[in-house]
Amino acid sequence: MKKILINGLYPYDEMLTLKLIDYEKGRIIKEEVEKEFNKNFEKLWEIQEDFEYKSDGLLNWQDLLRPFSEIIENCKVLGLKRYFETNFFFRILWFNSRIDIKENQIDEWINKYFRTKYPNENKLIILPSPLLFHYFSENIDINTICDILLQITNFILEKRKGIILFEEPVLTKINLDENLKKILHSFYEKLCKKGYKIFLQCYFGNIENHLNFLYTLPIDGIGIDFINTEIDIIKKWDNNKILIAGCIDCENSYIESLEELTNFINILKGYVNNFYLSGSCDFIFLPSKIAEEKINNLKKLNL
Amino acid sequence: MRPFLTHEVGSLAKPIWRVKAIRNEELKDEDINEAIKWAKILEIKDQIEPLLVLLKKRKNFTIEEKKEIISFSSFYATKLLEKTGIDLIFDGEQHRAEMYEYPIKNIEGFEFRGYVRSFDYKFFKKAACIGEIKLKNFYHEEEFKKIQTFTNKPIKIPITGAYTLVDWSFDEYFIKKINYEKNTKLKKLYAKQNFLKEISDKIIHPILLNLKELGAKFIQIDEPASSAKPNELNLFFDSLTNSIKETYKDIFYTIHICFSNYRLLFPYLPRIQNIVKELHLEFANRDTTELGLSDKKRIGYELLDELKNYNFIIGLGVLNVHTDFVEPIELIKDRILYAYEKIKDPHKIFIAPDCGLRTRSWEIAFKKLTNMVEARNLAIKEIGL
Repeated sequence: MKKILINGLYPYDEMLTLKLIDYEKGRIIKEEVEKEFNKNFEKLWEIQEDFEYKSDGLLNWQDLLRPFSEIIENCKVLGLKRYFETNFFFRILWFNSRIDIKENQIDEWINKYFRTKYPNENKLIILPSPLLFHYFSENIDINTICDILLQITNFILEKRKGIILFEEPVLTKINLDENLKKILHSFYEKLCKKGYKIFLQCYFGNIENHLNFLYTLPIDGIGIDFINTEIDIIKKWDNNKILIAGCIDCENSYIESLEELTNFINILKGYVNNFYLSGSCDFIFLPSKIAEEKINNLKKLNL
Repeated sequence: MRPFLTHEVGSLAKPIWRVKAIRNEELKDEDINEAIKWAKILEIKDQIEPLLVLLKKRKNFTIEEKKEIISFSSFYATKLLEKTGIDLIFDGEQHRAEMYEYPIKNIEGFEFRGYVRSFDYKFFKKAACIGEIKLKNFYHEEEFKKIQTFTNKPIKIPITGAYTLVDWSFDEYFIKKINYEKNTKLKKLYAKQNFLKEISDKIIHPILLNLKELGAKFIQIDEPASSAKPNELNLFFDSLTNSIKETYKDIFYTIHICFSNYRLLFPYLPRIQNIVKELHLEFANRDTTELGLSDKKRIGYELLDELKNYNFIIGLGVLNVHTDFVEPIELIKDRILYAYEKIKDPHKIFIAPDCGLRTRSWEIAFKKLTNMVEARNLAIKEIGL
C-alpha cells in the first residue's frame, strides 16, 4: 500500500466547477451538480486506489468548518474571513450561548460529509483542529470547541474506520501559553484513550518552534509543511512519532521532478523510520489537473 | 465634490442573453424577454431595437455580433447604475470576463492552468507566468471610450492592481531565475519581487498613462490580495507607488481592498497618503443588520476610530455583496451616520457597496444600490447639510 495522504480540501475538475457556476446562477438543477460531484468522488477514490488511507477530499465542504454549522444547534454562518495568507476564504461561525449537537441528525450528517465507498475501508478522516475551529468562530471558547469536537469525533468513529487527521495551520502562526498547551494536551489525550489513531497536520509555516511540544502530545503522527520548513528539522526527529511529510508544493503549479522527490525521500530515510508523503497544505489551491499530476508523481516513487 | 458621494465598486452580473451568446448556447424566449424587461425598467426601450434583432438570431453569433452584444450589455449596466442615482458611474465590468482573467488574457507571458476556488462555490481561472511579460494592448481603452458614449456622468474605472495580479498567479518563470538561493521561502520572495516590478513597470503604469491620456479622472485600483501576506506588505506598497508614479497629479485614485486584516496595512498607509485620495474598504460584511448607532450595533465599522487619523477619504462599504438580503434604507443610513459621527466631515466619506456586486442578480443589485442612494439622501437631510 502506498504511504501517501491527500490532506485537506481537494479541488474540483473543470466540469464540476462549470456546473457549480451555472447552478449558483440558477441556470441548472441540483441533480446535474450532484452527478458531477459523484464523478469527482469516484475519480479521487480511483487516484487513491493503492493508498493505505483514503480521503474523500472534503469535496462537498465549502470550507473546513461549514459542515459543523449544520450539526450544531444555535450556530449562524456569518461573513468571510481569509484562510490565513491564501486567497481562499472561510465563513465565520457564530455560536449562541447554548451549544448542542443535533444528535438525531448525526448519522445523516456523517454520511453526507464523511463519504466512503466501502464502510470497512481505512479512511483518512479530516477534521479542523480545535485551534483552527476557534480561529474561524465567534462567541465560543476553546474548551467548548474541544468538547464539541470530542463528541463529534466519537460519533464519526462509530461509523467510520481509519485515522483522524486534524488540520492545524494555526500553530505555525502563534505562540502557545501554558494554559493552551494544557487544553490541547487534554483534548488529544481524551481521543488517544479511546484508541483512535491521530495525526496533526501543521502547515502554512515553519513548525520548528512547536516541535518539542508536539512530541509531548499523545498523537501518532505530525505533519510538516516542508515548503516553509527547512528539511534539517528531521535530524532531531522523535521516532516515536510518524512523520507526514508535506513535500508537494500545493501553492505553486510547478511540478516537482521525480529526481527532486527521490532526493527528498532519501534524506528522510536517513532519520525517520515511519513516514507518509502529503501536500504542503490543502490541494485546493491547485487546479485539479495539476493536483493530480503532482500526486501521480508521488505514486511513481519507491516508498 | 458632494457630501457622501456614492459609487459602485466595479462588477455587476452579466445578463443571461450576453452569457449564452458568448458561450455559443442557444437563446430561449425568456432570455430575450429578460432584455426587454430591463429595457423597460431602465427606460431605454427605444434604443435596443438592434439588440433585439440580433438576439432573435438565437445562436451562432459571429465575433462582430458578440462584440455588439457585449457593447449592449455595457450600455444596459451603465444605465442600470445611472438609474440607481449613484454619482460615479461604470458599466459593471461587462467587457471583462472577470477582474483577474481579463487583464491576464491581455498580457503576454501567461498561460491559464485551470480553476481554483476562492470561497463557497466561487472560482477564478488561475494562470501561471511562464515567460517574459509584455502588454498585448491597452485593455481598458475600448471599454472606457465606449462607456463615455453611454453616460454624461463622471466615470470611475476600476483596474486590477499589480500585487493582486501577481499574488493570484503561479510563478513558473521568475522562480527559475533565482538559482542562487537555496531557501525555498526566500527564493519565492525574491522571485515575487521581480515579478511585481515587471507587472508594475510594463503593464499597470502604461495602462494608467493610457487612461490618463484618454481623459480618465477617477481610477480605482483593486487590490483584494494586498494584505494577504503580512511579510510582503512592503512589496505591495512598492508596487502601488511604482504603478502610479507621477499620474496621481492628474487622477483621483481610489484603492479598493476587501476581506482582509486592514490593521496590517495601517503602518504603511502614510506612504500613499499623497497619491491615493480614497481608501475603500469592506465594512458591511463585518457588521450586524440591526438598526442603531451604538458601537455594538455597528461593530463592523470599529476601524473608523483608527482610520480617521489618516488623510484619506474613507470609502465606506455599506452593502454586503455576498447576500441577497437587501439592506433597508434605515440600516444603511445608520451606517452612514455612525461613520459621520467618527469622521465628522461628510466630504471625507464616500458611500459604496463592500465590493463588486457580480454575485448578485440585477434585481437584488438594483434594489441594494437604490436603497443606498436613498439612505445617503436621508442622512444628508438628517444632518442638515
